[in-house]
Amino acid sequence: MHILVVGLNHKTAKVELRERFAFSPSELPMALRTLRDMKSIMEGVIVSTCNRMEIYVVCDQLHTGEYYTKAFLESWFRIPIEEFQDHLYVKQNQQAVNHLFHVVAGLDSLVIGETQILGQVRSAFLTSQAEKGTGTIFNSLFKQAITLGKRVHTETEIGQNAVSVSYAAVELGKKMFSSFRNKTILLVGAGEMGELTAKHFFAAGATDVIVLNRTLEKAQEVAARFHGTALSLEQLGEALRKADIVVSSTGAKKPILTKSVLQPALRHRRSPLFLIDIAVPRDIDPAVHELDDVFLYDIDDLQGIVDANLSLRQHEAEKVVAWIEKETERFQQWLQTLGVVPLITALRNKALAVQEETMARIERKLPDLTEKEKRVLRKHTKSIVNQLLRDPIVRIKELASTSTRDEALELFVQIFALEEQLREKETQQALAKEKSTSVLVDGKVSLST
Amino acid sequence: MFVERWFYDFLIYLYALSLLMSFSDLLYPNVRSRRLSMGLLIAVWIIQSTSFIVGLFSFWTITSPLDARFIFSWTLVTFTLVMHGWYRRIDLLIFCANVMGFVILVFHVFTISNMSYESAQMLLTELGFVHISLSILSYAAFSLSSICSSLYLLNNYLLKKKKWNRLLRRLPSLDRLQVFSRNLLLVGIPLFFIAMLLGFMWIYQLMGYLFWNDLKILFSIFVFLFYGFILTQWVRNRWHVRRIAWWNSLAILTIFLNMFVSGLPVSFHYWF
Repeated sequence: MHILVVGLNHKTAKVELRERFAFSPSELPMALRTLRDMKSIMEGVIVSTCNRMEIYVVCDQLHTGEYYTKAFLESWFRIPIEEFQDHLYVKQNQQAVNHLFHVVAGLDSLVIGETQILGQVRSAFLTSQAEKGTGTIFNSLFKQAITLGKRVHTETEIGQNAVSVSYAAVELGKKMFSSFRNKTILLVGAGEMGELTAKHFFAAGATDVIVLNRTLEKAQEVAARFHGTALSLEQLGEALRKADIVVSSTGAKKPILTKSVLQPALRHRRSPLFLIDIAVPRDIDPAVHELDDVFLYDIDDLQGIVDANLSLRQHEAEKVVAWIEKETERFQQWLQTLGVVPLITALRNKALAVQEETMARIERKLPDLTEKEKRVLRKHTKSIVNQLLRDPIVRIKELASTSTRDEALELFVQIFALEEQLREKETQQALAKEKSTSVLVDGKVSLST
Repeated sequence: MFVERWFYDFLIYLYALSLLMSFSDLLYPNVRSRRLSMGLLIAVWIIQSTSFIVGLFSFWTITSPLDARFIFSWTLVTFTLVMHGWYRRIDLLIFCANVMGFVILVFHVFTISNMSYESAQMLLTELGFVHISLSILSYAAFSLSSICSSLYLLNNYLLKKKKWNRLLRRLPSLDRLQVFSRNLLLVGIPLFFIAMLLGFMWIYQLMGYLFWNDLKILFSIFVFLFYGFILTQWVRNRWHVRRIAWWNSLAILTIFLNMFVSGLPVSFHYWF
């Protein structure tokens, strides 16, 4: 069995290409069934977000699996392979597992440490599971990946701090106000960036917005979007008395908010006043920061916070990478022991068949046995079988994670003569797969059972 | 005595471990350390409370240094657990309050002095019990209020210096710290006032006017006036919050001084 991931993301493909490879949620179940019915593919999960499209598969042969996964993409989206071949990445086995762990931890995202991807991968896995597109390997792999993703977000600060200037202002505001409810935002100037910052505060719970602008019409237009009040720039002093957070982004050449303008508004004030100056040239005189209860942050200060947060995320990412390496190793070990399971099952079935035959013979030769005596005999013969098998099973599990794994498994099959049982199992699996076959019709796929 | 010693040692180890986990979480945020620290703190509280209840129904009176400081520490733990249940992002405040609770616990465990049975009986009146309980509660409220003010100053300093670091991220917001410290004063001052009045009545019954010779009484009046002055400034709205926070942070020294005076031979307040 091999694990394979074929995909493209924001690093390898531009949005023009990525948007052509988007699976809509409604067609995902069909796509999963089609993928699963491809030759060599045994399990499959499709992760489709705005920044990535990845197909994870378990296949019995690497090259065949890769070929048919690409063929699936080509036929499903009706895009010739030459158009996207160069933008695809293919990772196999350990690398594929490692990649999935990076993805769920948010290390492969556009904004490092973002949490959304974890939910998207989880949803992709659950969809595939519902469609019976996953089996033993992916059920275990994706559960391990999701657990790792959750651990990353709860035990590190990788996704906790703002990485945009406007959101950094909100984060900073939380150090002054425990809640933005009933706080008044004063937006001075109707610039785009100022409005975006006000929007973040509004989303964080601020209820009252006052918009000041040179032209009242523009102020009214912006205020309407926040159900706020519009005032003209002459009413700045009055507005300052009501404000808790001031976002300034006018095109003025000189500071419009100075100590002398601000001081009357601060009289009898008991709560902090947060001033955010995102205008260049600056709207607020830096000297106001010296006033008690006034905190002035300009665009550079906010960018400094963003940079600090990004470097913190990077620092946390190093910790996460070490966890990923350990988790990958743990999964590989599990995968290696997985090969033993069919052998153990075959051995146990064979031994139990022998035990059942023996019981049948005993019952024929001793017809006067009571039900109780038969139960006791059955129990003890089973006990002999289990005791005899215990040590070989433990040993083969140990050997399966060593470098001589293949030879050991081969020898195990020969010693216990399990060839026939294994062949029977393979035939049963092949028959089950053949039950549903796919037919390609005009690029899209229809199923026939 | 051996069992008692073992019990207090065990309590201190648990409390220390809780603080250690809490400190580790402050330095390197980790949900496991945070949960473990809170779990251990709850265990400390349960043990303290059990001991408190068992004592209450047997021979316990708040008349030895051991008991009074023990309850002071218990009150701080209770306050912090309640605050933790109600508010988020106050880890640093909880840590500071618990450092204080721990220091008080350690201090009294290692300075156990046994009061004679007669002395204990003398103080064993309902009036005395209420006086001491209310004093302890008001001290806990004052201490927490001072801690909140100190954290307010720290937060204010970091915001003014534009130092965006892990410490700032762990601090509660300015307005929350301000509300906490003011409300704790609002709770502490009336409690302390009632405790003082009851104390006067109680000790007057025992000693008559001689009680004025006790330095502790003068210091308690000083503590009351100091905190009362701070609250007045708050209500009058003339001082900036930062100035009030400075005064409130320093006010904790009056409590320490008051505790120190209790240990002097000129005081009959040898239970605290």
